[in-house]
Amino acid sequence: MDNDDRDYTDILNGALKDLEPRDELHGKVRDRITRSVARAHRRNTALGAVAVAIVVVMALSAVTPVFGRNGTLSQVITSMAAERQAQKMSKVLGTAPVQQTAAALQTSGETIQAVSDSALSETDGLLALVIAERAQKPIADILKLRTAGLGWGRIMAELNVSSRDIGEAISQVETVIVEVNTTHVTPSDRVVVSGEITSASATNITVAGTSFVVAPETEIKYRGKAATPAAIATMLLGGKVYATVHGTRLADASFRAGLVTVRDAANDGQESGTVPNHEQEVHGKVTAVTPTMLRIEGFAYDIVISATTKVEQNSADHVDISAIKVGQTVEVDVHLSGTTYVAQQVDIKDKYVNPGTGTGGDDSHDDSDEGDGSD
Amino acid sequence: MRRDVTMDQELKDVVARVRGGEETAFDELYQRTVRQLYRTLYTYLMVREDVDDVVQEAYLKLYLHRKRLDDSRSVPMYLRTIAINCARRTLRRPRVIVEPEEDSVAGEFSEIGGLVREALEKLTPADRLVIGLFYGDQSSIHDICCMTREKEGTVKSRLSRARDRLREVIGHGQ
Repeated sequence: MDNDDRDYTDILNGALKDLEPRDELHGKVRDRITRSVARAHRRNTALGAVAVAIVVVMALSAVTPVFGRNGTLSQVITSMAAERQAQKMSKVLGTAPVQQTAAALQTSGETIQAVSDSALSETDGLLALVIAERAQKPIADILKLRTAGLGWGRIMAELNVSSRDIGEAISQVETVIVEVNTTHVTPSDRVVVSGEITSASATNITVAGTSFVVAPETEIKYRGKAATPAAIATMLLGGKVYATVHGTRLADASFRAGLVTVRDAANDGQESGTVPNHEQEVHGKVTAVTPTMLRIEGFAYDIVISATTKVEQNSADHVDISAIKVGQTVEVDVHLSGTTYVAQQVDIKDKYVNPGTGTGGDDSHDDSDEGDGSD
Repeated sequence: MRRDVTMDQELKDVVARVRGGEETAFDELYQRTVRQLYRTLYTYLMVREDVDDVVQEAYLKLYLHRKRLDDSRSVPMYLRTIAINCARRTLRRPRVIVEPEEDSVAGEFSEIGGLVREALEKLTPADRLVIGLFYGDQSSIHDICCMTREKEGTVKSRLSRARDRLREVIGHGQ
């Protein structure tokens, strides 16, 4: 500290030496502290009372069904969580979530029907299916409890189904649906099978020994009207029933039914015991053609062309095998005979162009092809 | 060294008792620290009523945090820091300017001396605070930086400016 600093210190302290806090200031400080402490005490007491009340209510609600038919607090929370999961799943599935869930869980047609007949919302229906599947109980039992007004949490508790079970079941459904939706279908994956129906359920139909998955989008028709797998199952009890199934081969080599046209024996025109024909419709561009063989893009096998193979072309009256050219888009009905695919009919989708008029030179008639060369 | 070490040593025991929950120890702490704090705050605020309010608020906060007081040396600094923050809020509040009665003004002038008061009034509150802490409270530049949360350069500038103004006013007066 230099001299100047000492001077200023002395001046300032000299000027302030008589400045003292008023006597009552200490009392004011003490009053303020007392008031603040009392206020904090009151606040803490109130907060403590609230905390105790919350703990008591929580403890009570954990063992007592304070929420009436919704059960205990934990059951209400479980219910909310399950409903949220089901709502999320319902959004993911989009259309017909109950049917899609039922198909994924491989439940019966009666189960779907029971859920559809009930007044449950789609989310509730989905939850009912999942709970029934996990609890291994008939859907009627779950619907009965729900109709009685019980919350899902309480129903789950009674059936010993946990939130985790619901989550697992919903994941299972999601996995199945995603697999189905992401399957890439090529023309060669299409199959047509005709023959006797040997079994029918909400999830599967077996025709001529080939089992098809019945998906929510599967269309089943009988005498021109929509039918259900359950109706077909009932028909099977009365005798033999036949069907033609247009389906798709899936990545796991199983088949999914697209259109199932059901016929009974009287209308079939075929005798019982008809040998089922493995037919297939192949669609694509012609990559090679000879008078006896046809190769289609995307179809792994050569297709044999026989004398009985019919050929048709868009806008043409009469065409024969020679009209088939490389590059044309065709639709071929093939029949698997042993290990050979035989073309029954070739439908040329490209428009016919009359060579004499020279019009429509945008097609592939100018292409050199093996068929012409071998005639 | 600008601090009174003996004072800090004595405070250590008092603070320990305060921390232990002894109510009378807090009163003792108040008695030991209030005078200097009051003068520093007066240098800063220049209004007794405001100083009274700030002192009450500062000691209330010190009381509420008494269990966390660690050593005696930090307590006066901690108290001043709290008080400075409270005082800043007071200065930021909209103020109703009331013309003081003549006797009251004369009384205050006599308390701190007319010339010094005149010199302080010509400074900004921030500059007055630095003067109060440096000359009145004997705090070091480093401690002033910590308490006011200003940079060393800023504190030194304030100190220099305030000193010049004091010299100018007091020099003229003499």
